[in-house]
Amino acid sequence: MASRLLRSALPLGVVLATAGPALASDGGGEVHPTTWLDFLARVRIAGHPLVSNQAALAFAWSLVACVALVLISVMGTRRISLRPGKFQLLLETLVGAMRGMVASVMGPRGVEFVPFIGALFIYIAAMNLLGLVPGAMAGTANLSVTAGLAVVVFCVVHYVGFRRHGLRYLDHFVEGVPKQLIYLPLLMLIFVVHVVSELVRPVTLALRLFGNMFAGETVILILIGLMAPLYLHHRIPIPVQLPNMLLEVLIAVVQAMVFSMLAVVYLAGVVETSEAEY
Amino acid sequence: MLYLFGLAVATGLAVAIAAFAGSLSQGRVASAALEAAARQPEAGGRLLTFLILGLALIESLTIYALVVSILLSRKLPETAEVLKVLAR
Repeated sequence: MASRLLRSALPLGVVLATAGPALASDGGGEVHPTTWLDFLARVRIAGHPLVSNQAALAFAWSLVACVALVLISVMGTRRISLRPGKFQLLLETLVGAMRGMVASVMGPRGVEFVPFIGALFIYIAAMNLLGLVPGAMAGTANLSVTAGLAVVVFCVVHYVGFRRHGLRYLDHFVEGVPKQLIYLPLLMLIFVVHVVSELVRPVTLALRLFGNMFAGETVILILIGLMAPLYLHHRIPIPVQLPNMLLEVLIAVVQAMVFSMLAVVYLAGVVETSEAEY
Repeated sequence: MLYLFGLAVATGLAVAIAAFAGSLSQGRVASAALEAAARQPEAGGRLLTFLILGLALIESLTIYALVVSILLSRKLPETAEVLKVLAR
């Protein structure tokens, strides 16, 4: 029972952990973009504005994505039955796809990580797709939000490693070198190299997702700006940004898949055991 | 002035060089996937997954260059100001 509660709280934990970098950093001025939630910058609680910088606005939009997902889940599981209706079938297909994705990399041992990876994928895909709605902003278009997600993945991966292997987890950092005293300098070097490569992983995760989403919305802005004089002076609206928005839909889902697939790969690298399990 | 010149050139060339190298490698990935799919059409679905994953990972390196270019372009001054300084 406790583990079930923990597992269902895990997605919420993922969301709340992303708030860390967003709220702790100076996320830039509250100038752009213009979204529906801009009024939060003027709402004050105990003298402080609710949303004081860009990163907090992105976090607010990520909460919107959460609320949307909660509503979809509640709607889908309202009359859950063994003969699924169309919406329940859609959700089940999604869950099955998540399980397939995790199982393709981790095999049958990966079943316990499906909720985490599934939550990651759905959350990121929802945030990315929300950015295409006019007046809404993608939460992931801010480095703070993606950094929060990357930090969560980093912490989960190493926590799972230490849970599984105890202190022997550190052996995996010095793989390939015989564990004898005479090899101590080489051991230390390899350890440092491995630690650096492990630290770089969340950086690349965050930058990849942020770069794709931010570049996407920048290109859309530029295309709109190209057609803006035509509309402002001659009243001819030509939506040049629409084909690009179609590409953005694809990129939104693909980047969510890449992020969660990389999380699965890192987890698989950590969960491996030396004995054969067949 | 040389500093600004270097900054402007770097802002432009960063993505250009990254896109050049990225597109070469993405072309190789796509051609390998196409060959494998032509050889074994029934493995097409799994190949699609690997193809998209590989392409996205390579693309992310080009995106890093774009992020660097954006960071650099913030440091560039407005053309009007530069022209005013040059006119003096």
